[in-house]
Amino acid sequence: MSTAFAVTVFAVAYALIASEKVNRVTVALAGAGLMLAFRLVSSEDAFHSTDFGIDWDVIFLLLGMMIVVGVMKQTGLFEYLAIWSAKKAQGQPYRIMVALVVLTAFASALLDNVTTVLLVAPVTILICERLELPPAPYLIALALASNIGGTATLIGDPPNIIIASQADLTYLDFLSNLAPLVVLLLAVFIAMCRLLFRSAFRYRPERVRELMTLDEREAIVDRRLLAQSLAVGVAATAGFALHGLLHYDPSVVALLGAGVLLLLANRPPLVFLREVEWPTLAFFMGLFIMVGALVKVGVIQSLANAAADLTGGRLLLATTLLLWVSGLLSAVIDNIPYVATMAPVTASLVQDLGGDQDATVLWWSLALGADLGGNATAIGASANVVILGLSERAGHPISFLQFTKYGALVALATLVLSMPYLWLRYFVLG
Amino acid sequence: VTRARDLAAPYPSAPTDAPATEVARILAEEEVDVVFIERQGQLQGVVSDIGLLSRLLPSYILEDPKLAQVMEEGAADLLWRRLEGRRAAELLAKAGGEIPQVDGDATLMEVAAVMAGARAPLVAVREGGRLIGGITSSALLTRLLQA
Repeated sequence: MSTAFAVTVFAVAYALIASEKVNRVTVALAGAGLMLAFRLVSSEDAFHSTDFGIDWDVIFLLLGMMIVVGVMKQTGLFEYLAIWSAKKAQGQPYRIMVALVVLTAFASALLDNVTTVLLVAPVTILICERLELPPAPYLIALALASNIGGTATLIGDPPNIIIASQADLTYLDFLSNLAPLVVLLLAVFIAMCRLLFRSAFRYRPERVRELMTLDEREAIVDRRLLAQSLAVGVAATAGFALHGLLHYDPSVVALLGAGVLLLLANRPPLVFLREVEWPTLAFFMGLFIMVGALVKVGVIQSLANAAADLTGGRLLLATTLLLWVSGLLSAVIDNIPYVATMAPVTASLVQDLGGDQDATVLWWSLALGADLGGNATAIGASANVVILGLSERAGHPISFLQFTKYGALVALATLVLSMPYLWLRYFVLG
Repeated sequence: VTRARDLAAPYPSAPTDAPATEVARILAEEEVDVVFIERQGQLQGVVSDIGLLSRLLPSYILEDPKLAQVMEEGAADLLWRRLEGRRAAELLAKAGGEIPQVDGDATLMEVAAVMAGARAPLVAVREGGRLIGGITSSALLTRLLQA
């Protein structure tokens, strides 16, 4: 009875989140409330157990990074880099797109994807306007690059944060396992851009002067704050990377970074706390409680058993299925609830299928599928939705189909390339 | 009893199909803060100076004000280019052109209630279905305090 109720609440909540008819935070908190009210999960479990409740490591890692990003946003660094690189590209459209794609992918690996596109998209429109280039292809490329780049690190995409916490994987684990593939995928994506957006590369030498008059140095509004945030950013990255030596969890490193930066910035903290996406944090909390209830009543274990039966204990089949199912589902639904649900299933599969061999590859499969699949449609990832909104406000609307036409091809190509990587690295060479 | 028609001051107006640059010219040269936009004598909305300014500014400046600093002074010319080819009617949506309207024989208390209810600094006054002018909040307050 309790199982049926938990599944019903979860399924209805999932459907409502996917339909976007009701705000996702409302749904997650209401669903969590119902799970608690009907005692499917106790308050002790919900608030104090990482197996059945809120994963505070994830919440505080997100909070810390949001504060750090909130400070970095004020510095003008990304605007500087975007204009500087466009000027270095001498106004050549394809070279500008490559520079913006590389900047976005790199920034997305270090910051969250939505923040990155919010930082780079406005300056991209400015550059396009100066060169009389159509902004839409450049904006679509930014969103796609941010989802690819975010796949590379533990902090690059929220699904990776959930996976790292559930699987006890470190920043270096992500970097060494996913970053090499992401570099390859980015190179392929850059080559694809040449073909996909070929009509957007009309070079107008007479417009280049308009670009060159932009003074990127003016974007840096507070050099001291810039130096401080860069120092803290480097220190935090070192802290993430040196987990094996220092034994500080990423959440602790992020909170330390945020605290130090707020102290150094010497401004009212509210200025930076406004940048924290409190609704997203509330969404995560509600989601963790709902998934915790499913774990508690045994639904997740049943799902994992079914998945293990389906794959017959064959790790390669499980890896392939997980990659493609995650890719397909993440194309149409938010990859955060998907990964929050699939993480305990994958944990169980890693245990069941592993046997003598290391089944960690399943985690990489889940991360790649969920992160890269988000590129397939205009609603597959938050960065895509943000780009659609920005482009519409700028008077260059991008339709769902227009985005999906490019996104689906890029998602397909990156997922197809991920498969031989996983096979070669973990089954042939591993 | 003072009626709305007694306080209504004429405001410059432009038809909905007038060039957007003409609306901007009226705002700049006649030193008024709004221009009524009408079609066949019927008020369609107003374009305020602030509304026009937000229309002139590219959205990327509003999204990221730091970008305003990287643009040189001469870029102001680019702002005017954004109005080229546009019509007055197109300025209404962005300017939030809806303003409350009252009949010419409305009392000042009625005007005040409409203005406060809509939180609008200007009320349009019409007579026999045609626009005859507008009452600003400052003109209304001055008159009410005199009474």
